[in-house]
Amino acid sequence: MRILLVEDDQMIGESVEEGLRLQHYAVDWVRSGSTATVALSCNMYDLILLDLGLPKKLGLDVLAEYRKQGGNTPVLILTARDTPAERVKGLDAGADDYLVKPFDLNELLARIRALLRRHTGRTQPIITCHGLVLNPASHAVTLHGAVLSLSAREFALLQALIDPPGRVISKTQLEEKLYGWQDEVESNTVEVYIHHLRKKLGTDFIKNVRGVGYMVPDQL
Amino acid sequence: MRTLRQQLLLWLLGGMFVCSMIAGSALYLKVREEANELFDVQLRQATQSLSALTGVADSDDHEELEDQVVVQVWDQKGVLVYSSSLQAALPRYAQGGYQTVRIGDKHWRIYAKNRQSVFIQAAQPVDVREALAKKIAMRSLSPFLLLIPVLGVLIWIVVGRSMRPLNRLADAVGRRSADALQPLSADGLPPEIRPVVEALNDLLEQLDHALATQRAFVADAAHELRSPLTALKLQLQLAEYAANDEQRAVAFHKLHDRLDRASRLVQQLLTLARQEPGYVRDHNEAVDLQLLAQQIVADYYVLAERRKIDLGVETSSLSQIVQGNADSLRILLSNLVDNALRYSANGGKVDISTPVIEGCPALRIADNGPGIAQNDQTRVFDRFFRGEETTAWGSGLGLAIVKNIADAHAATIHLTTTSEKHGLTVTLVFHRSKNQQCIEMHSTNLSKT
Repeated sequence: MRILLVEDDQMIGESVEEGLRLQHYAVDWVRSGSTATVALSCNMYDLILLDLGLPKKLGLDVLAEYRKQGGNTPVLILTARDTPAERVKGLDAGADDYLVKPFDLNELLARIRALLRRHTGRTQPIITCHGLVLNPASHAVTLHGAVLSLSAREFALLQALIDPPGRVISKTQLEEKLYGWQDEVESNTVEVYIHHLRKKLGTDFIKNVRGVGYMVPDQL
Repeated sequence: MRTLRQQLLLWLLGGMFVCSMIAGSALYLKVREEANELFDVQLRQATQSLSALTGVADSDDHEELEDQVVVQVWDQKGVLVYSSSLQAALPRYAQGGYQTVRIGDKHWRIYAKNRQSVFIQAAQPVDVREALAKKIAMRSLSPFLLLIPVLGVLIWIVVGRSMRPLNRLADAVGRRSADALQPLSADGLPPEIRPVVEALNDLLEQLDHALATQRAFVADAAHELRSPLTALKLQLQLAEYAANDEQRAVAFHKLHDRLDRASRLVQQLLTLARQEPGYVRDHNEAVDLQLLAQQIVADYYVLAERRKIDLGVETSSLSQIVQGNADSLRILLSNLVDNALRYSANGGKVDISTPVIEGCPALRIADNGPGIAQNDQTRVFDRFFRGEETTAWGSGLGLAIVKNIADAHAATIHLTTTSEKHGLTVTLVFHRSKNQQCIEMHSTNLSKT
């Protein structure tokens, strides 16, 4: 899961980024509205964390512009402005949720999970697929009741493939979900992780769509 | 609207006139009545005086003997031939005319006249006359005594009526509160009170503005405090999640940084509040800018050394004295040096100098940091303003504090960032007070010095 963090405050940005990385999200952190717009036009994100009080180009302008251009990634506003009018303005500008500073890191993570879940059309907090059970909050995975041990990247890759299943996802898209700008990407890492996952889940669980990417089918 | 003076004059004069007319009429009637009564008494006395001539002394009249006029007649030989009163036989006072005499313990008013063959003398006790005169005078006065309370009520009502706009104004002022400082209406107010209302409205407007500024400041401050608190809270949770001692140590180190930042913001907020216009009263100390610069450099030397920044003062043989508040000026220079150090890269250079600009003492702080973009230069003095993409953390209050202090010292601030040479130069020119103009030296242009 790749998240764009738009926050001009060095210290808050640092802590949020670290907190997100601990939860195995790939994070791109930008410090101004204009760089946020650039980042949004070049990359696919699963979620945007947006601070409203940015210097020069305001968070709400970034949001309005993004929605106008058809961007449908969920947006969670992080702001110190807490009046009901400000909340309404933020939500009406196209935000999906609103969190007032100072916020709790756990609450932020829970809201991120809820937004990601809602965005995929899922109502259950637990992701299930062909006997596989993924808990995005605890990162616990079981297959037919047996606990599976997955690395952070493997978990992220698997979640990207089965939430929801039945979509073909290209290697580039998977890479984007796994790595932020700062992360070094080796050329065959996705293949390596797919290989590991197949060993743990069975070879047929993830299908190869030749020349396109990978897919976990709806029905086996 | 008439003036208060006109209103009072009109109503009081009118009222007095009406009252005087009523009292005068009453007095007229009263005096006429009294005069008639007096004439009646004279009539009666005349008959009584003559009743002795007839030889029939009316026993009924004896009681009124005291009031009676005693008429006596003497013949040529000096024999008393007639007396109206048998009891009161007065001696003959031969000189005639009006006189007051004392007989026994009683004073008498006497009129006597020699008429060819007889000498006639009429006498009346003075106390009777006096009592009668007093009675008449008192009765005549009564309308005026009645007039006094009436006039009192009239004055009460007229003054009350005229003061009604004042009461309305007092009510309106009383209804004003810190939340409702709308201007007072001058409609229907006498011209004397208008200047008061205008002055009050000016004051209300200033108060409203000051309150709004203060409210905005408190709101901004609360808002700004949220950022360091958010950073603190997040970092605290990350410290809790730390998997090992090494991670925990890093997390705690960051926690300290964030706490320092929150403390500094609070400190700067307090400093700003203390340097608000009107807070510092004493601006009469003589402050040597050269000495001040040396003290500040000494304060910041360790910090600069740690970051390998070359911090120094350009020494000048001239001592530059300005009138002001030493503490405020120290805060001003500290903030400017702190800013310069904060935004300078490691190994940078910060110079403080005390030039003379157009004959005025000045302070100049030059660094070789990133400088301030031209279009941000007016906004950097706003509270909590921060430029885009600034990596150094600041409270956003430093330059606002500097501006407040500079304003209090009638100093102007010039920011210069030249595009070819990086860095920011802040120049403060201390214009002397109005009566002590700087020596005009137009040859030394600000940009050249």
